[in-house]
Amino acid sequence: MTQSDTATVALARGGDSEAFRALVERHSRAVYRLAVRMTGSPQDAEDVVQETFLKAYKQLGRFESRANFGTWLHRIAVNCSIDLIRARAHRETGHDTPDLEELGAAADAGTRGHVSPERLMLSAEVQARVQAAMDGLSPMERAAFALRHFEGHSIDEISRSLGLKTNATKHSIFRAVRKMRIALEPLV
Amino acid sequence: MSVIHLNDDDLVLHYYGEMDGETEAGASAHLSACAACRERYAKLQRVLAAVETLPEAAVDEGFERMVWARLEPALDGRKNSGWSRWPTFSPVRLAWAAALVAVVASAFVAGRVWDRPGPEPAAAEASAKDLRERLLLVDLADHLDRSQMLLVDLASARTSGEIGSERARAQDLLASTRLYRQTAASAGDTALADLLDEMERVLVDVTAGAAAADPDASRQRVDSLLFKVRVVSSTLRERQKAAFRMRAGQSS
Ligand SMILES: [Zn+2]
Repeated sequence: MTQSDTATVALARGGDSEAFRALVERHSRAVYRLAVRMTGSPQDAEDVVQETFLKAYKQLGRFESRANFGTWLHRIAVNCSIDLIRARAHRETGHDTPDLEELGAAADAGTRGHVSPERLMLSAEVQARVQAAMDGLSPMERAAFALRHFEGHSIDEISRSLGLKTNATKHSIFRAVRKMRIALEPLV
Repeated sequence: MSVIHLNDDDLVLHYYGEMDGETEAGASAHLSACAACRERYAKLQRVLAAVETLPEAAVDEGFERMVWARLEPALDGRKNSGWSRWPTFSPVRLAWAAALVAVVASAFVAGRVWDRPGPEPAAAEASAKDLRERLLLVDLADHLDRSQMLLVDLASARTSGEIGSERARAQDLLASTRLYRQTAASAGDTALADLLDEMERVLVDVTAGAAAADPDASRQRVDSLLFKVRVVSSTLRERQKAAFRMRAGQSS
């Protein structure tokens, strides 16, 4: 953690709201980006940001001053994202079914036959594919895959965070990778 | 050499370094020996490298300000809930009391404190402000309670020599009494301002340790003040309860 974080956290713990504001300004983007990856929704991610900082504020007294504030906050943000995903899952049951064939058909229709090598090089096209594939993940697949692929968490860690058995986590990740393959193999 | 090829899931675990030592050694050995699996693995690497190109979510200019604007009222609410537990007067408490002047004044003017519980505000911002006001009023009630307890002890003290601990408590209460009195006066609540003014005079005397020239008159003064504080304090409590019941009824 940066020296300024250490000092700022100490001030914020003492009740200095300007110091807490500085921490919010320094870290809210990273929390938001993590939350977008985990939830797949900018609106949900904004809620996660709010909830993360509220929790951090409440638990600041329990923060070990030798720990890394960013890491600590990251853990809170992951948990808040998971809480939100769970809450959404309760409301939107049935949304969790994978739709591999449809996704694959879309990928084929978009690429087969009339794809020039130049077009393959277009990262915009690849990015759009990745985004579409991410959007096609179920909430649990997305959370597990985002934590493994983008955040570099181990499957064991992810299982603990998500409250899943190791095998269930593995299979969520496998399904997510399969969807990425179907969407991207024609392009790469 | 193993003739069992690596399946897709094995390749994923290998990619993320999630195989245990022995399995990992076997997979690596197989990959270096099997061209077919090597090609499938290269394909997986390309796919997952492409996933890496997913851009970070776009963040608007002023995002941090927006976050803070939404966050701050909620933080205030949580922080305020701790205020009434502060045991004694302190510089922090003094700063809080100064902030209270504006808030309580507006509540007095709106007639919300003394006449009726205000309408339920719709916006989150309004309810955070409302919460702050209610918490501050709880503190005013606490202040009156502590004043009341001090007056009870003063009334039962027989000589000025017995009021050592009361002096310290009077000192604690003095500055906040003054601020509440100024608030009430500027809000036009003369009854409360007069009461607090009377309170302040008693506190000043107690703090100064001035021996009463006329002990009977002094006791009468304390008794009369005690009676008034009890009336205002219980009225305040009743109004808080009524406001609470009304809000609870509205939100259910
Ligand atoms: Zn093989």
